[in-house]
Amino acid sequence: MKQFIIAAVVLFVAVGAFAKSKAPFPAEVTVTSKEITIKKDKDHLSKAVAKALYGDKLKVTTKQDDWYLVTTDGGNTGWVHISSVTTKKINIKKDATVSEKTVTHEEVALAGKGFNKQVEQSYVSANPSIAEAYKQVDKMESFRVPLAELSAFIKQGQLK
Amino acid sequence: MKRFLLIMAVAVLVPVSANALDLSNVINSAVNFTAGAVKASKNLTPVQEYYLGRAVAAQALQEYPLSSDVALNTYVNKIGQTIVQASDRPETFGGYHFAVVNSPDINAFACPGGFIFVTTGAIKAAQNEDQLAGVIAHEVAHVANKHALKAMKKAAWTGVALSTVEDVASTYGSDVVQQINASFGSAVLDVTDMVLKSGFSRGDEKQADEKGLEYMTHAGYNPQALVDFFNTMLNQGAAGSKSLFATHAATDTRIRVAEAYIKNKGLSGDTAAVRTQRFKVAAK
Repeated sequence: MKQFIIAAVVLFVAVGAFAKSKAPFPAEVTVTSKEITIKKDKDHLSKAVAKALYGDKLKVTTKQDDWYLVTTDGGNTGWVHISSVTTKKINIKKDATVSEKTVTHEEVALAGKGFNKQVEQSYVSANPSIAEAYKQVDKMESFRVPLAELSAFIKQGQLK
Repeated sequence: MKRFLLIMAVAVLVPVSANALDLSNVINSAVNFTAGAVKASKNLTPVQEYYLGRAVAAQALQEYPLSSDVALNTYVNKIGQTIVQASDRPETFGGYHFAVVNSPDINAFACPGGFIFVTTGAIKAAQNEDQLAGVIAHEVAHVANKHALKAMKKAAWTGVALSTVEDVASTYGSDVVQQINASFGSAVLDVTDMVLKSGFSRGDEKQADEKGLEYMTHAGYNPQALVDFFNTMLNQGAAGSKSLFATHAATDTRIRVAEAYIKNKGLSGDTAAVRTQRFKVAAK
């Protein structure tokens, strides 16, 4: 009996080690950001080869440093940073008033469970004085530094 | 597994209370069971963190008006995005956004999801770009490590807990939605209070200092600049009720800890003259 247990433990560890060596990265990841650009190289400033939206699934080919090499459903291949995706299942609750066929990516993104756009709208309705401040948040959010400008800033400042 | 436990817990609780159609009992029972587990895992989804962050940012902007200086906002965003790329969480659901707010207070604050504010007072107090980058890196570290979410108290987690239990949500529909709305309000109050008033724990401040030093160094900034900024504040006696240090660990202790961290981790860098020059132009 003792030998059987030892053998079982050894087998369990061996199988685990084999499985680990065979799966150093997930086969698939799901996008957790509203929108990401899939990069040509492992660099935030690298050229974009495609875009992916919240909830999109990407096939993983390999992992280097903090980057996954992925392929989209459309066949585009490039790099995404690990912080923009998850290996966990994302529960995307579809808006009950919208049929599945007409759900847009944006609607799907905003229909996450718990705190979401609908909750925000209720919050503003209950606190109308904050509506103006929300407009300022929208303004802040819409402000983008073009990648080319950021690259130039980094280069000029002798940064990395 | 956690989701399974939540559903099982509510599955046990619902039949008992549903006969009496007493939703509040169901909610209370479910929440009593689930809130602790959810809180312990800081399990807000990136989407929820984003919407909470927007609300806290809106609260902050009611107190601090946005600066209309486009050039200065652009400059601060460029520094911020440079730091973000060197951080260990460069992507959030909605991305990082930086803004300058008009206030003589020497302050900066970070809202969940990546909304980061720097006061004109803090920019004026900094002597060069590297010092300002240090302040921003500290705030990015708070976001990257989700420190503000720790402020959420039990009531705030109620909606989060309930929203993960589909059976309850589908059975009680609008009542659960109302509960989620109420929880959102509680979460906004809790987090706003921490971000703008009570401040983070000393442990989280220390971690933000250390991570911030790493981020700024990885980005190419001189980590010693953050220590220099602390020293300037200390020498000027600038620590006050609404300063960056009002809610932080004692400044001299912070300086010693930061210096030791730089030394132990071997962090180094130079303060390039070109950066100081462009800082003077942008912050004039």
